[in-house]
Amino acid sequence: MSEVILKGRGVTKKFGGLVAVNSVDFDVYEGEIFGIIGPNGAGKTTLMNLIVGLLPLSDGEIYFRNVRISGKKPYYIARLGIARTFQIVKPFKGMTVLENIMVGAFFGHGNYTSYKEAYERAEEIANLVGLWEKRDELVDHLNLAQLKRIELARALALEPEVLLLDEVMAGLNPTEMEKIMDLVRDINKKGVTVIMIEHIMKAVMGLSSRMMVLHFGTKIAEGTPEEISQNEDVIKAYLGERYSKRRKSA
Amino acid sequence: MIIQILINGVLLGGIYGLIGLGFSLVWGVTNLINLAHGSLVILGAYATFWIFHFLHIDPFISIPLVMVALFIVGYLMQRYIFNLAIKADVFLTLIMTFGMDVLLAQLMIVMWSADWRSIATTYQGKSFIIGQYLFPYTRVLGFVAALILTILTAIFLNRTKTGQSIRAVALDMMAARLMGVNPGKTYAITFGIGTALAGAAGSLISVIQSFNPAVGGGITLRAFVVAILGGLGSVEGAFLGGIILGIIETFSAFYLGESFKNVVTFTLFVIILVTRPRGLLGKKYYG
Amino acid sequence: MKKHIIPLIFLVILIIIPPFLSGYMLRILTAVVMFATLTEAINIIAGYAGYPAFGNVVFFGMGAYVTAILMNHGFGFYLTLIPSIVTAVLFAVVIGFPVLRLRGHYFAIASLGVNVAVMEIVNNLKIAGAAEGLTLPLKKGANPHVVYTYFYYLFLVVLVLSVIFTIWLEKNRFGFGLRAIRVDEDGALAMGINTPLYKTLAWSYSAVFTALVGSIYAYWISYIDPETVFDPIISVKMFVMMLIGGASTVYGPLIGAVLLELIAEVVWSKFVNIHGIVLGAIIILTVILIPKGFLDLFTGGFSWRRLVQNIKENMI
Repeated sequence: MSEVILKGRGVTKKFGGLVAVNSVDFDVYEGEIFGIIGPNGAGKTTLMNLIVGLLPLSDGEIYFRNVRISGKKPYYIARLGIARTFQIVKPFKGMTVLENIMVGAFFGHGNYTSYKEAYERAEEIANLVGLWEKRDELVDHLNLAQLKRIELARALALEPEVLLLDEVMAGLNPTEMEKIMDLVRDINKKGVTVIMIEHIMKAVMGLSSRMMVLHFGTKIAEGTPEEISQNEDVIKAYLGERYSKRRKSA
Repeated sequence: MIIQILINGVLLGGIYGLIGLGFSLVWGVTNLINLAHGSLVILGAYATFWIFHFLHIDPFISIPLVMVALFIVGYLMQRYIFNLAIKADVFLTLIMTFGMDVLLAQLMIVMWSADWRSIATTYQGKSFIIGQYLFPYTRVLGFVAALILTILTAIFLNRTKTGQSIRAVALDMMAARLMGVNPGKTYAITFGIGTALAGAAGSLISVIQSFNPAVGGGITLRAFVVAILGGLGSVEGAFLGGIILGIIETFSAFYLGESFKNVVTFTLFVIILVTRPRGLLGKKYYG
Repeated sequence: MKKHIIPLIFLVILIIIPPFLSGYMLRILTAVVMFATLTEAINIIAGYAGYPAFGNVVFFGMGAYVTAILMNHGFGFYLTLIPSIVTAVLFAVVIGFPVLRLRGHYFAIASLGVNVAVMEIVNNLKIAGAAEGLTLPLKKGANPHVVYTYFYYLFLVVLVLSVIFTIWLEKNRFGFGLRAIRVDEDGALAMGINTPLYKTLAWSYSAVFTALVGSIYAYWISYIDPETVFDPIISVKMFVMMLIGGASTVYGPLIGAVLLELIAEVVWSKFVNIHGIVLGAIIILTVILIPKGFLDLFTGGFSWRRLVQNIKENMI
């Protein structure tokens, strides 16, 4: 098996009395697609914010290739090679599609410092994510599916080694979803480790090699998609006690 | 000596509390930081001055009159000017109210000149003494008036239908709209009340110090200090903030000198802004 | 390059015009150039980075005072410029670190508070002449027109520098970082932008140009006091000029400065008394009618509907 690229030990986040993420351990291996699922409010997005440094940890540690990143600033972590997308899209309004992607190219792992280099890199990425036709339009005029692509494109422009996708499928129709899934597969084939957060199980099942399930901030299962779909605790968490009992008696 | 300074500080602080109350009420409900607040206070001071000058009505008696007049000014100002841009970026509305401040200050200079004015009541300069401590009549009356108005404002917000709708709008504009509250009108009423309170504070200022249109800016910044010192969001908080500022100013004037008073106030102002916990910032007030 | 041709023509006109102007006209033009530079400077922090520095005039006052104090101690004018810049930048960094953590109106008000606090401190500073202010040595020249032309050119040089800086900013990684910060600071962080550093840098650049203008102003007017050079209304004028012309554009602030300063000058000369009333009214109307600036109003043809739409967007 390949090397661990991202490692969490006892990762905990408390908001006042509420424990949003409760002592979660995880290992993500280089080159895999790792899924994180769980019902709404399970702490998935909080966990992602902890990894990229947008929130400070209450306890625990996170390592990227054995370098401790918990406690570091978000821009530092981004430059190390960990990029993310936002569930609620955050395009830079008032800027064109290419300019949005250029921000990523300028400040990311690739470190393009000249306007020309960044521009050319942004063109390549716009082409890759299927935004070529829209490249000179202001992002203010794009629809949700296109904005999700902007999120992806900007994250890719950072030239990350690890890409965290926060519900990139949410709000998309099945065709659009299919296209994004193909895109994610392509990106992964180029050697980028992908961590996907979804609350729709189906989307992750098809893509991930391994996954982890969060429930009320606690990890309740980890394994391959098949193992997860058979796991009692997961079924309980998703479908409730009664369904689980009925299944047993049947 | 320290106790006497403390007494002076508390008495001054009551008026500061009243200045801050109108300001923070408007801010909390309409999200408008009214940089013209100080000029409105001075407008109230002038109203009091002219009523005293022509009608010989005592400044403390004329407070209700001044408040009614200023309420109308404030209501119209919000309804037909500020409401037109109320949803714009906050720094745009900030500039707009600053424009109003410039306009009002100059208008008062044109009408009433930049001369310093003060009101000479028969009891001015007289004091009563308790123990060994001095209580000037004007300051004590000013403090009592400020306290009464603060209490009345709290009762108004909590016990009347209009007060309830103001609080509803502050908490949740959409929900309030659904309940049949007209937000435009409610904003205008809120601003009118804020202006009326500013006017009352102007009345109190006119009896304890001399004034001209140029002192409005300093008053606005003090209103700001009071609003954030008191924790923004409650009537009692504003009053308390006023008292704290009054004490700080009296002490720094005594120990560092009158001219350093402002240095302390404004440095404090910046420090409070910077160190205030983030969590309070996005909160809806007066709900 | 194309969009810089018309500005270049204007620049040539600005360079050759002084001998043809009356003393009065030259004074107005100098004021226009001065405000254009101040507005271009505030545009860096307030326009590009989106941090409404309501107290930006603090750097203007500092520049003016550093030059005035040093010249009173025998320094030549040019020798005072470096200390003026250094003081302003140090102040921007030291104050910026805590204050730039605040967002929106809290930053606006805090920067205003900083401005007033510094003004009050200078009011009590013996070396700065306290509230009485300071007189500077007069610039010597063959005749007044030569002297005033000299100051005009000084201001013009700083203006050109500030415009060149802004053009560079537009096409540069730093400028992209600032624009990202303006739209979404969390997004900018996640994109690898060191936002605290960038904001502080933006304010420092803004401070450099503002302080330089302040230094020249002090020498030009030859008498300064705290109430004048720290007057918050100067900040607000910069802001309104930026808004009228269009924020975060290279030439918008210049257009705004020309428009507002010319209006102010006409009003000032004709109706000295109501100057403030008209200025106040212009400020209010600008916010209500053209919150996105003149350029926006006229791109794609002017229409009254646009004005009505502007109001409708922001009214309740």
